[in-house]
Amino acid sequence: MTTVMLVDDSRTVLMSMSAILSKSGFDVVTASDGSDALAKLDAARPNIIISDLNMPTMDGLEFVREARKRPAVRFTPILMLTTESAQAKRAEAKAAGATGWLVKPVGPDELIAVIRQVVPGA
Amino acid sequence: MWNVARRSRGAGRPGLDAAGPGSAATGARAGSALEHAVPVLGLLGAQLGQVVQTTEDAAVEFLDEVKAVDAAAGNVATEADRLAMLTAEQSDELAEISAISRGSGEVIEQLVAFVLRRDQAVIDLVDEVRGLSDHLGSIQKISRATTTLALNAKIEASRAGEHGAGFQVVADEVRELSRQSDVAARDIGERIEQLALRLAEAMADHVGSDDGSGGSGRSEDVLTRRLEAVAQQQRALVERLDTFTGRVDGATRQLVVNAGTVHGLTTSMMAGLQFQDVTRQVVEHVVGTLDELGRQLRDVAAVLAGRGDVDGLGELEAAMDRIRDGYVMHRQRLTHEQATGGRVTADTGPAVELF
Repeated sequence: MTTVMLVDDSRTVLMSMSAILSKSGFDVVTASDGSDALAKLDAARPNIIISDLNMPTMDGLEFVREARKRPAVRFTPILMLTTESAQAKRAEAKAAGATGWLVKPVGPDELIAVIRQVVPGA
Repeated sequence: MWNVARRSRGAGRPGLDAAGPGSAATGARAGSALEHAVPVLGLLGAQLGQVVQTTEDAAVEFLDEVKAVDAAAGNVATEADRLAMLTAEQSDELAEISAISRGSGEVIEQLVAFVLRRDQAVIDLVDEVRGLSDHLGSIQKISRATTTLALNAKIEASRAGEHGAGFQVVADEVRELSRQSDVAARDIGERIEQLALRLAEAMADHVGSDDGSGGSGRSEDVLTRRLEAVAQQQRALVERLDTFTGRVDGATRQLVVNAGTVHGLTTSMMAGLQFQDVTRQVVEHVVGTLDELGRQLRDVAAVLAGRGDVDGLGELEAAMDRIRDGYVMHRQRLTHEQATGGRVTADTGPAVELF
């Protein structure tokens, strides 16, 4: 089963996205910010990470940079799911090692399609 | 929220400055700062208005989806009821079908038993005939031998003259035996004919009409009629079962479709809750701005009261720029530009982008 790690400081987003992904057959692990996600990475071994950008303690960009230093997730797809849509921020995320950018709100079908696009066999 | 460091209060030695408390210059500066607060408040109002609009749109969309879910759930309930009714109806029908099947089975068992009995009777008759035929052959053989013997005895008796009178007696006795054998043989032949007649009758045995399915008459005809009746019943049963299966299948498929609709709607509703994250960030930005604005207004009040540094009021004048820098989404910038009459920036990419 494909494991998706959701990183977001919004409980609403974590709950709704978790429910959508679970209903579609994914195994879901959640984290409330970047540092929480880093702490859970080794145990979770996600096939894909979907992270918010603006979060307390450790934001999405820093999380991506740190995650890319971990051999276990060096090549794991990381999608940014954020309300931010500015091109400058996208460029920063791309440079940090993010795989893609999704602007909230994203539809369930769209989300699943993107996951299956970047995770073969998901 | 605002990253520009504020200056410490009182750094400008109030009262000794040309723009000291109560001076026209201080008043003008404070007034100017306050004037900058007005559009900030207007902008925050616009941002909150946008939140209200977003919330209302989301609520309306949510309600529409709830109504759709309610309708779909109603359809699911209707189909589930229909399926339950079908099952109940078909439970009775299946009991009837089962009874008919059992009846057909009994008829077939009766017919099979009849055929087996007749076959056994025929087999018995054939065995009996075969036994009689064997006896008949032996008797006929004896009869021919005794006839020959009697003839020879008579010839010898005539040759022997009066000394052959004994042979004559033997010959007569042998002839009599031969006659009796012949009679016995004929008798057996007649019995064989009778057995043949009985065999014919057994083959043409009549089947009674006790089960009422085929009437009475020649066994072959009755058997055929009964088997045809059974076959017809079986065909009718298959048709009824086909109809039942089709109705259940249709109801089940519709149930699956309606359940899928509910599934899709609830998933969409959950995705729609992302609006909360959007409005939360707008409200957080507004709250942060209000908090800073409050601090700036207290600075203005302090300056007017002679306790603050008039140079620190510049932060309020640059408030709009800092507010713009704090935005995290395109819709905030859009609202800002619309509220301030500025140009709408196009620094935004597609909703989904893979690098």
